Amino acid sequence: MIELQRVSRWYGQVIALNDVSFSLQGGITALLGPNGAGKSSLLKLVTGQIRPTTGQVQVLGKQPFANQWVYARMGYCPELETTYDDLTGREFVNLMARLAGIRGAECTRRVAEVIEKVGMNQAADRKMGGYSKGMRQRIKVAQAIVHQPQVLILDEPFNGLDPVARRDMAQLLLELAGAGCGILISSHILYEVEHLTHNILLLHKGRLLAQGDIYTIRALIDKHPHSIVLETDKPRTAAQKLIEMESVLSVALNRQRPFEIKLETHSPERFYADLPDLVLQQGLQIQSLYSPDNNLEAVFNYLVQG
Amino acid sequence: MKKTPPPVLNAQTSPIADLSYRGYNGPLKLHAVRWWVVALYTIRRARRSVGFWVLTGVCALSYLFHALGFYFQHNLSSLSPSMHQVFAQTLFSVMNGSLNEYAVMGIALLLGAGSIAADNRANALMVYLARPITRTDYLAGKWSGLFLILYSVIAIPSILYCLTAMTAFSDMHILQQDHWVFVHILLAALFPAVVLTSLILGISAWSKSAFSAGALFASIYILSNTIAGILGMVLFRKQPDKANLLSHCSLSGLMDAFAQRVFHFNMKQPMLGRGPFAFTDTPPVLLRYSLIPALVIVVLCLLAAHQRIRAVEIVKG
Repeated sequence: MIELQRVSRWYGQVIALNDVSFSLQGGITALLGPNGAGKSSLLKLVTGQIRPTTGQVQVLGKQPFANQWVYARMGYCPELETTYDDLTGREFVNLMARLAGIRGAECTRRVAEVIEKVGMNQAADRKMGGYSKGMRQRIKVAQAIVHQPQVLILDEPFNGLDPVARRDMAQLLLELAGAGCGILISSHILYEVEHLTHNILLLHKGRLLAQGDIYTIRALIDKHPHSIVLETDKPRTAAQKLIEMESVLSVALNRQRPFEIKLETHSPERFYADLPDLVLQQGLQIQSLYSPDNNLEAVFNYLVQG
Repeated sequence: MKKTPPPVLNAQTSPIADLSYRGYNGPLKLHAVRWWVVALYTIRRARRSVGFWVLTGVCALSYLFHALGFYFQHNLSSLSPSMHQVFAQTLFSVMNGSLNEYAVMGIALLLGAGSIAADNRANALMVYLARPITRTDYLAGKWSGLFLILYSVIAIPSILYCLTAMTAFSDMHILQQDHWVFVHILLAALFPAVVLTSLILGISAWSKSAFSAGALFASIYILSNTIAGILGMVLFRKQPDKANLLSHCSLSGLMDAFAQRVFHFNMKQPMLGRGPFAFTDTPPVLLRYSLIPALVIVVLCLLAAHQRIRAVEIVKG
């Protein structure tokens, strides 16, 4: 779907992307990175707005720069405000549909359909000048999907959305991805992204820091042991036995939560395999067991901050 | 064990992926006419502007005013060959007279100043140019939309005026005097519409906001008119030929020169230091003196605009 081969992009003396290579197939992929990581430059390259200085970008097997064939099959929702205050939401989406070449009654039907999909039926005929940020965001997404693109590029689509709208937007993206539309989504709301996909691209200072499944990436970060929190009825007995396990590096009791034990392990698989025996032998009752750093935010922090 | 659930594949919880998603395969417009979508939206947005209708009303008023003036002149003076000259002069005034000229300039400023500058500022070019249209399509759309508006505002009152004169004063045999009068009107209206549209779009593309584009356009227009007019009047006594040429070295002067050439009549110019009602007849200048500078302005402005149209982020603040 999207392929970058040794792509670098310079702006004068400043390097925005440095020798980035990856290949994305269908589904949702999250593009993550702190400010200035090169996310916007990467999206511009993928959407064909700029050319790479070196390397090759391919979208649907073709280079995207000034390529009408690619544009006709790609939807793009930029992060910044791109709407006209004096047009209604419906008119804006209609304009974008017509620019994509859809005409006549089919255009009207498609516009109505996507407006309903993004939940803007009530406000579609109001001028966009009076829209809230969330409404503008939804209209921008509507214009991006109105021509049924094969690839959808979304830059911070959750910005300004209220919790209900976020849930609906996430649902819509999952539906699109589930039905076969490839989605590349840039976001800084890690929690939202984590609910959408486990497939990430992590950029930092113009370089690709990690790519792939979030759990696989986490498992490969040896520098930071995995934290596991366990809640049991006999925390001191459990702590004593847990520290004897080879896979466990440290155990700590929590004064505020007396039934909770926090442990660190360098080998979570081995720990999870050994745990059932320990529970049976000691007759422990496990109330909860979870890994607080086995999530996107932790992985993001470990990779970016080192 | 609490663990983030894997993403579901579709809205229903079916483990089987619904691969029903298809790219759009309905009817598509030909790529060659997509610029028309941009033009159409430019016209639609203009229709909503109150200022546009006020200025169009001024153009209509100019038509009524001149038609009335011609009616009185025709009825008060006996029909003479000079009446045809008066008709040509009035027709010219309907198209290029001060009132009309500034109204048309106002429309160009109102609709054109923000045409590209506002799109740039609103980051709309990012979504426009992510569609299957080229920069040329976008510019062609913006240009044609504004051109059609200006052309209509100039040409329609002139044609109406001509039709009124032909109907009311059939004794003048206007068509017999000038078989090509309608073609001449359409031709003369073309010149200001093309020049003004190209100039304002060129300025708009290079401006940060509609306001700065409008201010620059108005300054160029008014200052060039004032300076050329004053120089023309000052030089008139010593070198009338050069003065005539110099008085056309402005945007308004170029349009006047072209219209004068198309309608073949002498224009009345004020004479400095000879009293407020002292005018002299100035013959039309050669066509190349109006066409070449106009062509240069149009080409430069369009190239500048094309160069500047890019999908870049403009961060406000």
